Amino acid sequence: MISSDGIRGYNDVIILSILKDGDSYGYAVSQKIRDVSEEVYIIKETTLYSAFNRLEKNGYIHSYPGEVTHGKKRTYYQITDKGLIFLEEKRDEWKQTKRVVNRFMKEG
Amino acid sequence: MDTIKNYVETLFLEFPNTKEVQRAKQEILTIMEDHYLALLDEGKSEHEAIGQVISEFGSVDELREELEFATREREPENGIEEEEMYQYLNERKKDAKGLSLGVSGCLLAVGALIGLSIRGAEMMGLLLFFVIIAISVGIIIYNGMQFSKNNVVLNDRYISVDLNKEAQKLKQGYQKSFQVSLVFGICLCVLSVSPIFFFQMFTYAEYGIPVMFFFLAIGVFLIIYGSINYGSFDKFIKEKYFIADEDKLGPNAMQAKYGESARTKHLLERVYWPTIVLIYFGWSYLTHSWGFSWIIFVMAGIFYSVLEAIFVKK
Repeated sequence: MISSDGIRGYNDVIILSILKDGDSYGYAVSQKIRDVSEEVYIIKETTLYSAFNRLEKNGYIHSYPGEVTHGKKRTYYQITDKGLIFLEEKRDEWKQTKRVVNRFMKEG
Repeated sequence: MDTIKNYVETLFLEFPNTKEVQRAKQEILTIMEDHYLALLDEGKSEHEAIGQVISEFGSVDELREELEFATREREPENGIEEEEMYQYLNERKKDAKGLSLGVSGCLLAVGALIGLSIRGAEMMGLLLFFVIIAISVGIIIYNGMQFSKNNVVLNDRYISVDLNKEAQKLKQGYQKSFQVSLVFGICLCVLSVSPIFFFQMFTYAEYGIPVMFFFLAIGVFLIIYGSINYGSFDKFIKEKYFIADEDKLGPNAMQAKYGESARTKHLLERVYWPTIVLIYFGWSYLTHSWGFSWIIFVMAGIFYSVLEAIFVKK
């Protein structure tokens, strides 16, 4: 399991990249993170909500009420154009970060 | 599922009940519920599922940062300073002392009157009675006025979340003193009859009565003083805006209490009763039905509650 401190700065991009593939809701996003990371990273519920809240405030995603299951309204999240641009920027930044850190960690 | 709900409810207790917080709670609950149901589908037992969902809840600290940042931004400017709250509480303590002293004084006056009458000094007793009563009533009026003066400064000003928490802490700290003064006060009031029986044993039954009033005076002092002080904290705990007088809410307090229907409530309060009085006089003069037209006030009272229920949402 990965420490939530280490990955903190990447929660936003992880969520955005999931939403890039299509609108989704809270639990589905957390499941996706679990699946893609092969259960190495399990995002906490409060972390997930905080990220949604922050992303929406910054205008990177927007929420709308979706389908009703188990008698409950689900909030769906959709990535905005601004969010797509932000994700692209972060992707480039990540490539650089990875390269630099790798050099120090002698990983490749 | 109830276990999860209760868990989240408890953790959210420390947050103010704003729209933002409600939304966060709802969203997080939905995620947890989905998670819980998915785990049940996987064949996990109820206990296992609840355990896992709660272990993946995360931390309240994270939420606090996120939510408090949001609530801080919108804090009104006319907030009450911590210093002002302490000043208010201190001032009120003094007034409470005066007020309860005044009430006790009145009881002592009666005791003195009876005591001196028994000794055959009725005139002396009566004189002392009036002097003490006059002083006590003076003290009561003076402190009562101080009370409202103290209130006015803070009226309708914003009570921040921090201030509210501070007040709650102070209230908790005072709890013990309050309980002690209440218990002693009530005990003294109950026991105040005992001197009568005590003096009866020595065939001076009537001497017990002044002593009874002496006991009552101390008991009443403790009860009133403790209760006023204990209640002072609530002024900073129960409302978002300071309320000096429940019947005359300031515009901010009105808005906070009744939300969007504040204007309706305001209008209703200002217009309703004067209109009823006008109708009463008009109706009575025109038809000379003074005999039963007063019934309008009874009906208006009920009707007022009905209007309030329909138009004013609390």
